[in-house]
Amino acid sequence: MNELPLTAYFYLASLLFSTGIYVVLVKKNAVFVLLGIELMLNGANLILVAFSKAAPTLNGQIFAIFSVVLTVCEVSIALAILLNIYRKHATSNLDELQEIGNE
Amino acid sequence: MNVVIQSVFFVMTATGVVFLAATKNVVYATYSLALVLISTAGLYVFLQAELMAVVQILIYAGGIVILMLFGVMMTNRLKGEKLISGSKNTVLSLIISVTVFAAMIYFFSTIPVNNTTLETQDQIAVIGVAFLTDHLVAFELIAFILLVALVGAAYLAKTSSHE
Repeated sequence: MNELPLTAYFYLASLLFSTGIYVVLVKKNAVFVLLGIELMLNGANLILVAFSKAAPTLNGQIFAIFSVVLTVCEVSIALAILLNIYRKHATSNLDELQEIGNE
Repeated sequence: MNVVIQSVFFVMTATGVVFLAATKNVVYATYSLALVLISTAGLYVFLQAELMAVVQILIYAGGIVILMLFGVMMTNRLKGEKLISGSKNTVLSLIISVTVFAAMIYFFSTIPVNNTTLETQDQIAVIGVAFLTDHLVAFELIAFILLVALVGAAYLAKTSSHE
């Protein structure tokens, strides 16, 4: 046996996902929260690809590629919104953003 | 030998993840995300997903990390000092994430998985054919969503959009 068992990959993906949740909940900076979301999506991709090897079909990899494209959309939109928030309120600290809409 | 290289990638990924959660500096966190993404691409090679590994390096490590660094640059007051992010609700968040971690570990330890071998001959060609036959609707939708998202992001980030 010259390979680690697939269960080890699932454990690593669990670590990625739960650390992503921790980062999203704890950090105050908005860019940090985006990094946490990236970690969670990466853990989900790792699980998809690992199950694709366990199945064995290629469907898991295909869905992982779809998920990567959705991640790119999410990050580009989120950073554009963050840029507008920073232009208007001059902060990227989520706790200082209390009101919404035009005041 | 394979086990050693796989273990190196495992340790790299876990180190990057833990450092990302522990550090307060936004720039260090972005670089450790790059470490996590690149070592995950190495793991994809061992999972016989070469196309996913290439996609991971090109799009995640090449695109998203650069985009994140631009985001750090544009959305913080840069005055020559370190970009420190505060923390809140540390204990409660730690409890929640450890609970999720334990639940996932329990779930994955109960399901049986067999370490099979994927057919790697012409794998990328098979994926390309599957995109245009079995998953055609999803493929077209994802292309449209990507176009809309990129146009929308360019519109939102335009300089005069809030005036």
